[in-house]
Amino acid sequence: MRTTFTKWFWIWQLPKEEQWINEMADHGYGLVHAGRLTFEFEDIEPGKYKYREFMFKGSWDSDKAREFLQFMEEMEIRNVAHVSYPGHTVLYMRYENNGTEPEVYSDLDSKIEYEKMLCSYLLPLAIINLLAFIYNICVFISFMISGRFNPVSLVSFLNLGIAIAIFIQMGKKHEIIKKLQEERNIHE
Amino acid sequence: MQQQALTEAVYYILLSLQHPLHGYGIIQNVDELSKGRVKLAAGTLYGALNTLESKGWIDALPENPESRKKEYVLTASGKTVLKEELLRLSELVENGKKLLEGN
Repeated sequence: MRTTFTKWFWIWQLPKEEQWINEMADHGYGLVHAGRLTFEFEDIEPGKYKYREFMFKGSWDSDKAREFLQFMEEMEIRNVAHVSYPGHTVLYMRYENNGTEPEVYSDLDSKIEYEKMLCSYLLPLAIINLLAFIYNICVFISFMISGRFNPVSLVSFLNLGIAIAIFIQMGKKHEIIKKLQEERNIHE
Repeated sequence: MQQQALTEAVYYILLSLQHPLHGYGIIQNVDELSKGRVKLAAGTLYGALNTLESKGWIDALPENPESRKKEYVLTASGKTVLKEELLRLSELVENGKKLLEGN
């Protein structure tokens, strides 16, 4: 039986989304389709699979993506869903649960490059939201000076909130990158 | 120019490809050779195989229509790289023994 759940995750919340999908799998719901807001599951044996979300640089229908997914299939890792974003695709990959946490990368260099890629994707989003906030707050102030009240401009605080949330996530990612680089200097 | 040290993963991948193997076979072989210590993740292997192929150290064999799995094999230049790495590793081991054990 298939069940659809509606749930919203921001783009910088991939780990949180992945954790939720894995919790669903532990309760017997295996992901079969993902959208921006909806997730479709089918009944599975609880804990049979583990899921890993992976942001792929490139479009879903590119040759690069096709080759990568074919290779993953050869490794018995199945891509069950994808969500496209400008220039990037989030892949939802399913692994047989063998008791270990599945990883896309095992080497430090690739892990560092991946975290950097996520940061470079998030940075323009943060800047756009920050600029939208500044523009709207300027509009709001100019209205106030002329004695009018423009409540729509206050929505700009949502942009500020998004920008701050992204910058916090980027800060966490920079910490991860720093730790990985320190580890690489010693072990690779 | 002196060759830079290979990562452990690349060393074991090259070592595994003295006979044609597909990706999953390489992962299993590396796991076996290192007695379970080196666990290659699929994304790392994918990136490494592409890089090694572009350097000419390994070749992708024509696809077998029966298995659909792409197989790879070590080239002559890959073997040379592997031998040079073995010399480098021997030097490390010998120096380590000399200084630590006084041999």
